[in-house]
Amino acid sequence: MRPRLLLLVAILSVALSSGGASLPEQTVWSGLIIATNSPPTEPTPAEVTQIEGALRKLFGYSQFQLIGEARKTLKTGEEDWLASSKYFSLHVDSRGEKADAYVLNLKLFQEQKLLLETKARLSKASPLIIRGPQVGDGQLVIVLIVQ
Amino acid sequence: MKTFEEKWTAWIDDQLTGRELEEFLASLPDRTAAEAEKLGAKQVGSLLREQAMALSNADFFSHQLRERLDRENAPMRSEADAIRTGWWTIRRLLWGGITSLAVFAICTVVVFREKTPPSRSQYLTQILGAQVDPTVSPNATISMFEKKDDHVTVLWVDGLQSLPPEYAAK
Amino acid sequence: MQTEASVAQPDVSELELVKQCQRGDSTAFDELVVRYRTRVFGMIYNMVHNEQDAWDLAQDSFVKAWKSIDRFRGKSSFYTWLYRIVINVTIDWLRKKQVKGGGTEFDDNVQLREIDPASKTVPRSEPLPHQRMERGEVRARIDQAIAQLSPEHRAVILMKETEDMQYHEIAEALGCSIGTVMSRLFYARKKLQNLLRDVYENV
Repeated sequence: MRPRLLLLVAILSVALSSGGASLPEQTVWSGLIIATNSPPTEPTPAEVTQIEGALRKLFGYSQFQLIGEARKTLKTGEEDWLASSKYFSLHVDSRGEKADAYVLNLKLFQEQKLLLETKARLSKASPLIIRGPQVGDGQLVIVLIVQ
Repeated sequence: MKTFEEKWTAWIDDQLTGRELEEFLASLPDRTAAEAEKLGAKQVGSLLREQAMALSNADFFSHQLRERLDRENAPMRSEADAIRTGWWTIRRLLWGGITSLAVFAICTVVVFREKTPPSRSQYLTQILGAQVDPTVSPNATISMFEKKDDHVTVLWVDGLQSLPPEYAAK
Repeated sequence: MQTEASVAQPDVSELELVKQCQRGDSTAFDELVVRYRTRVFGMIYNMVHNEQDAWDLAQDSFVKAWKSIDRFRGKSSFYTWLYRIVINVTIDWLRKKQVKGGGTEFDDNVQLREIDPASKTVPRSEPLPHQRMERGEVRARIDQAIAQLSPEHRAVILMKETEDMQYHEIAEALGCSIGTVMSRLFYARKKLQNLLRDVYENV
C-alpha cells in the first residue's frame, strides 16, 4: 500500500509544481505612512509606490515615509496585529474571506487609546486608505491592500 | 509581551501577580475608575452565572439521545454488511477515488494549463461601518468615498487630536 | 481551583468511562451524557436563546461526540474536548442562521459613538433606583446583550463566566491562542458592561 501511496503523491507533486496552478494564499499588506513634504530618507516600498499618485491627489503631500508595515495571511475568526510603529498599532479581527475579499474589523490604536474602529470588505487590489491624525507637519495615513 | 487588553483581562480575573501586577497598576491613569470597571466586570459575570438555564426533563433528553444513537448506528451495520459483498470493497473505492483525483489534477494542470491574468477584484473595497471613541476624539467626524479611477476607497477622519513629530517614530 | 499555570488533568473515572466508550460501551456514554447534559444545554442556550434549538444542538453535539469518541486521546480533559465539539456545532448553526437571514447582524463593537452630526442624541431611560427587575426581564436583557456579541465572543465570555474554564481550556475548545481568548474576553466584557450596567446595578 505504501509504494502506491508514494507514487500517487509523487505524481500529484510533479503535476502541481509543473503547472504552478496551486491557488496562491492571499495576504494583506498594511502600512503606517507619514505623508509629508520633507525629503525622503529611505526608498519608498513597492506597495506605497503603486498608490503614490492616489496618495498625492488625496492628501496633497509629495513624500511618503513608511513607519510600520506588516504582511499577514488572515484566517476567519482569528485576530492579529497588523502594521505597527512605536506609537501606533493596527489590530484586525478577520470576519470572513471570499475568493477576492476579506471582511475585516480594524482598530487603530495610538498607544493604548482606541482612535478608530472600522469594519470593511477589503477587495483584492483595491486599497483601503485611512486618514489618521496630523503628526508634526505631516499626516498619518494607513493603507491596507489584499495582494 | 502581553497587550494591554490581555493584562486588563488577567487583572479582572485576578491572574496578575508580583511585578507584572505592580507595573500594571502603576500604568493605570485612574485607579479608582479602573477598580469600578473591575467590579462591573465581576458583576456581569455573576449575572450570567445566576441566570444559567436549567435543562428541564433531563432524563427525557438522555432517552431521546439514546434512541437517536441507536437509529444512527443501525443503518451503519447494514451498510457495512452490504459493502462486504461484491468486488468494490472500501479500500478499492478509496484507491479508485484517489486515482481519479490524481488524473483530474494532471489533466487540469498539464493539459488545460492556462495562466491566470493578474487578478483584481471588480469590486472596490467597501466600508461597512466606522466609529471613533467620543471620549478620545470628541470633535472627530468620519466620511468615506471611493476613487474609481485609482480603484481605492478612502476613510477620511477629521478632527483627531494633532500629535507632535515624535509620533512619527518607527 | 486550578491556576492558569497548571495543565488540566482528566478525571480518572471519566477517563475510564471514555475508554469503555471507545470499546463500544454505550452505557458508559450514557453516564457521560448524564454528567454533562445540563452544562452543555445551558451553554448552548446562552448562545442561541431558544430552548428548542438549544435542545436540538445539545443532542447534535453529543451525537458527534459519540461518533468521534475514538479520536479522544486524553491529552485534555474530556469536557474540554466535548466543549470543542459543542462550540463548533453551535457556531456553525449560528453562522448558517445568519446567512439565511434568520438572525441579527452581530456587532462586536464596543459602544463607541458613530459620528453623525445630523442625528440627535436620544437620552437613555434609566430605571428608578428602587425598582427591582423581574427575573424574566433580567433574562431577556441578558439574552439581548449576548445576542449582540459574535458567536466567538459569546463562547469565550460564557465559557469563562458560567463554566469557569481557564484561558488555556477555552483556547483549546475554540482552537485559538490564549491571547485571542483574553482579547475577546476584554471586548465581550466591555460590551456587556455597557449594555447591562443598569441591570446589574439594579438587581
